[in-house]
Amino acid sequence: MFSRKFVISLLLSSMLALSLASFGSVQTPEAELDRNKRATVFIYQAQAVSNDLIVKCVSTGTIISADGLIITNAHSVVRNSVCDGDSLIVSLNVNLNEPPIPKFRAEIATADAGLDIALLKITRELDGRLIAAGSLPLLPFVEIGNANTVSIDDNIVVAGYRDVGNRAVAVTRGTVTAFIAEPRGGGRTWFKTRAEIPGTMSGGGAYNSSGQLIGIATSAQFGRRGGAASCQFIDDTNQDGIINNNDHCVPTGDFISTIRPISLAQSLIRGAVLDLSVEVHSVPQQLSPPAGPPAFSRLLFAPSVVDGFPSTVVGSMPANSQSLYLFFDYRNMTSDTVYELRVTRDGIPDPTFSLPPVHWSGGQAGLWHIGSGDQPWANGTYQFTLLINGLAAGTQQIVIGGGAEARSSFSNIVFGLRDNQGNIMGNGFILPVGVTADARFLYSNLEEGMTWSAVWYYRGIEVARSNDIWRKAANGSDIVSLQPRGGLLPGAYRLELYLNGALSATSDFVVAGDPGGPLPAIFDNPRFTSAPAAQMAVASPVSSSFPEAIPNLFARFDWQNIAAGAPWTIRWLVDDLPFYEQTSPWVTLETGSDFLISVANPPDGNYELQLLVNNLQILQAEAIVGIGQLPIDRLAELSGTILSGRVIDAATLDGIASVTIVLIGEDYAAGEFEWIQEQVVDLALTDRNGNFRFSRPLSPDTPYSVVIEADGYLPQTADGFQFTLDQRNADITIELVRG
Amino acid sequence: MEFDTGRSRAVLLTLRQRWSLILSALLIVIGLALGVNLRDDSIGRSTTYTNVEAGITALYPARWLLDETGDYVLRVRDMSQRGFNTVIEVITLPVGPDTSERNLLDSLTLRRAQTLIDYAVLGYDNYILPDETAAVSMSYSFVSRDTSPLLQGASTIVAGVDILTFSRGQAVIVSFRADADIFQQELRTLHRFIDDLEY
Repeated sequence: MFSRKFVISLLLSSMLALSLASFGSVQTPEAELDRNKRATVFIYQAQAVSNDLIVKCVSTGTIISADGLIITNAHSVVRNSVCDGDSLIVSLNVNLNEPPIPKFRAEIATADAGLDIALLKITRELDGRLIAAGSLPLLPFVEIGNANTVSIDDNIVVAGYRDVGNRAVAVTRGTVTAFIAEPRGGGRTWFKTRAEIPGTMSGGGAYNSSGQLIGIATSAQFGRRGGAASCQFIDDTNQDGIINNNDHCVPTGDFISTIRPISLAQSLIRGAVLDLSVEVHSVPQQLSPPAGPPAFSRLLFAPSVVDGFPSTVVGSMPANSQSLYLFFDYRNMTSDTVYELRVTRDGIPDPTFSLPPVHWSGGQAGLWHIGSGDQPWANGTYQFTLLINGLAAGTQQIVIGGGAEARSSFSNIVFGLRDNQGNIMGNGFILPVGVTADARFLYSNLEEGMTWSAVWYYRGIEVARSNDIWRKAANGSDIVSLQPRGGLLPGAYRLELYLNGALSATSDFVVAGDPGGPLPAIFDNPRFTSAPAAQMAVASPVSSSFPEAIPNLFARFDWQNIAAGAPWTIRWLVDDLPFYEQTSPWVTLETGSDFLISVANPPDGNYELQLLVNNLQILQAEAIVGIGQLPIDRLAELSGTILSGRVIDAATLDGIASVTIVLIGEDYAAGEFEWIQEQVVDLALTDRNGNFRFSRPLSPDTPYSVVIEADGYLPQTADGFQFTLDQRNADITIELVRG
Repeated sequence: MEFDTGRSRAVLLTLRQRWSLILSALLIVIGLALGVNLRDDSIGRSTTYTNVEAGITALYPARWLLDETGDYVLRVRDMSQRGFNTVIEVITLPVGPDTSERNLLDSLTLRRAQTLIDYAVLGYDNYILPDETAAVSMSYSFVSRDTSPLLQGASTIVAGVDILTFSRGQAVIVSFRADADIFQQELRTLHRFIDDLEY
């Protein structure tokens, strides 16, 4: 009897080894999709009210790293006027065909309200217990792809939840129909799709045909009528015994047709993965609210964008035009403001070039553009209507069609200072404080006798105007100058060129800093210090090299002649990879010293600070922490096989609950296992159905062994099974014989 | 219809057959005795653990998984135990002149309450170690759920006891945890462990 069982055990061991060795095929698109669906989570933003958690907002999220980093939309998780909850609950896909189950609580690791992207970190169990560092089981996560390789008509799949947690994760398929350009992200600020994506899938991942994450389905929670979008009453939030209109309505949003490319979130992701937080100390922590209601003005069309400004101003475009951009001024905007562009062609809505309601990402005031390039615009009369929070805020019309004409125009304005030979020197859009500002522009197809004007503005107020009759050649370039009384003061300037009374070209520049070569000396004297707190940073010794595990890395610099409101950008990089970028208006003194920015708990690495004004780099400085190179993140490198399966009773074929499976590494066979933790790669425990799942991926082409000893069953071992690089998942069944 | 109601004839065994039967029975008895002996030997078999740095020597049950990688001196777990793996853990903590046993036990309680489900202290008691040294014990319980969050793991009620004593300027704490249903019968493993523990 015993010998028979021993033989059975041996046979089963062999079978187990064979099944493990031969299991798994090359990852199929379906398997990729399954993995992506498993990594798709449902997120509740909730508010604790006495003993209840009241759901305020819901969204879809995607796990992008094994340690539980989740990417989603910011508007539904970051506290705001609509979503004012203080707790984030993460529901996981336990069974793909069933609704998700709440499992964890999360916190916001980093967020950008303008981009409408947030990174969440799982920090607590559902009951509020802290999850100790490194003890969160490995979670399924998706692979991040390259959004820059996406083309028009590419197939995409969007994963998410179609309602408020009642149904299993779903996918919607569609194609990329257009790219929408904005200043924040260039020509690919948005992907447009005709896939019907429900509002609750906002924050869900969009995947290319290889199953890689290329974007985030994104939509603001304001409908087209200006009020809250469609919403659902799911809870008796006022506890009056009935659920009706007096209860909180969970916004679910309109259908989504916009995808935020993942490339715009890369620095946010890197900052969250490395747990790097940046604090800007030398500015007021609470900025003053806008002085009035948000508004758009001066809507104009341009055929192309040059360094963020219109190349020229057009009132019509020839047939077969490939690009068109609407420029406009904006003021009093915040990241809470929702804006929208509706485009009609010959009176019929054109969804391809429209932008549904999205959160504003451009700061409080400035010049904005939205449009599309490198794709055909059909002939017709286009009406562009801008909306703010659902209300019309400006409209402009343009006709596309007919043959290309030799149109009289000004174009391509750049600013600088004239050298002795009369050439414009400088960087084009930033000038130092001084006496004169010069602007060079191109002119085309002009005729003698045409009237033209150059109008200069400083901080929105006209400061100079010249009106003249054109007496030069038809084509060429010319220079106009501004010499204000008292010289050029720091601040924002604008030049408008009119031809026969119509605006033909316009561009802006910033005056800041002292003269100092091609770039004005706006920021200088960069230095780094380390200190426990900001108060001690100024007195701390300056260095460019710091030991590992410093509490904070402080960057200090001085500045001169930069006016309030001038747009400037702080960019941090580690090992040449950006992890922080923030553009904001200048809000402190015009001139000063010891501006302080810190990075908390920086890991070893080569840190670089870049300061930009008007998108031009003014200052750059580097410091080394520790060995000057980021530590290798094992989790970020993981690309192995997730081993899962089921342990069953050989006689009954029922799953066996609560069995521990020991996975041994390549250095030991099962027979050599000495029951020492160092020999163990991972442990897994079967659930009530006998299912198990190892929490770390197995390296490819590496032999592993398995040992199972369970009370009431004969021991089971298997040696030498391994997986190939392209096997993402392996599922095995292990039979145990009673003994 | 007739039935054969006659008794079967007695089987007559040869002398050789009788001896064979007797020897077979004897062999079975010897085999069973040997099996029981081997089983007891297997159950009672121990592995020696020595940590010179911590000054600790212990005997723990064979085929329990030894782990020295955490914030403990050693941890051994019975991986064959279905459900919650019975565990013995030894930790050492520095003590100051004003540190009391209760300070340390309360510190353990506060820390565990952050991570263990429904952690509750059941009581404190005095404990006399084999060398007649006085120690303090703290009993507690919590709920364990160790499967992946992607699976349907059931929870287990776990009972535990910490035995704390001071030795050579440090606190030595032996923690023992087992499924509450088998805690009492598993306690003998703890007692054997403590009997052999040198620190």
